[in-house]
Amino acid sequence: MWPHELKLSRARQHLKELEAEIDRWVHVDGYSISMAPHPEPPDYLVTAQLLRPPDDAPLALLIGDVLQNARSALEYIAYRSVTKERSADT
Amino acid sequence: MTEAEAEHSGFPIIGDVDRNGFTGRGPDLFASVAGQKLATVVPEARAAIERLQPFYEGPAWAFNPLWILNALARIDRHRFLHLAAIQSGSLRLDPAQTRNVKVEQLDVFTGTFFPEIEDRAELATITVHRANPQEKMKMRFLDALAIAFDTQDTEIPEVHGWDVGDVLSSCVTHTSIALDKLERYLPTP
Repeated sequence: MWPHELKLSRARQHLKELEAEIDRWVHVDGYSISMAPHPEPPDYLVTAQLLRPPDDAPLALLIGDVLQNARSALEYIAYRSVTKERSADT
Repeated sequence: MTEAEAEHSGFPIIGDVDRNGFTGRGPDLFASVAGQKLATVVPEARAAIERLQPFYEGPAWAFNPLWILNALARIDRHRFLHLAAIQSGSLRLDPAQTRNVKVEQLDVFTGTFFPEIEDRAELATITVHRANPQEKMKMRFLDALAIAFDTQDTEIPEVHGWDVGDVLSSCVTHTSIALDKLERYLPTP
């Protein structure tokens, strides 16, 4: 594999980990939903109560891993592209 | 490639506005930056990299995923990106856990709220009736909240309030597309 492919692959891997973390927050322990009668029946008001605010640090670390690996993949391919020097050799 | 050329090489990502706020500057900015970052690259590869630049998208250049990737990555090099909770706007009843309900109307709210300021948000009003008046209603909701970027006061306000997963997924996809377009310029192994 080329180095840029490895970097992109790592970015995808971190993205999956991030999505799993977000999924856990959304579906398991991030918030709860309650319903209360609205002043105008038969309406109800649906409300979310945060149980665990989205933690900046753990999520931001994963976000950074995705960003830096994807950005590096582009740097790597630019660095590896055929140079004028190599082109002249062929 | 000399050591100095190697040190300065890179993949430029150029928008369409210069430091003084003038637009339409993308082509000149690219030419200026590419002179150094792509100094050793053959013209064909340089032209391919230029065609991938956000400024080619005209007024929407700041929404180009490569631009967003570059801007977020720059922030991340110095500090954590801040996050916020948002009302996803996709609130819906879970059919697996909803019984005896007739929904007349569901009005879903959207917006962003910040955990350090408030810990609850109104999501929707729902007008419902019992399908069978003798039985209790049972309702469960899905997709109420999501996690979004809080970038209002940064150099990339365009993604403020956008779903984190969607933004990064788009950045990775567009990176992959860009790499595919450039692989033909790699040296033969």
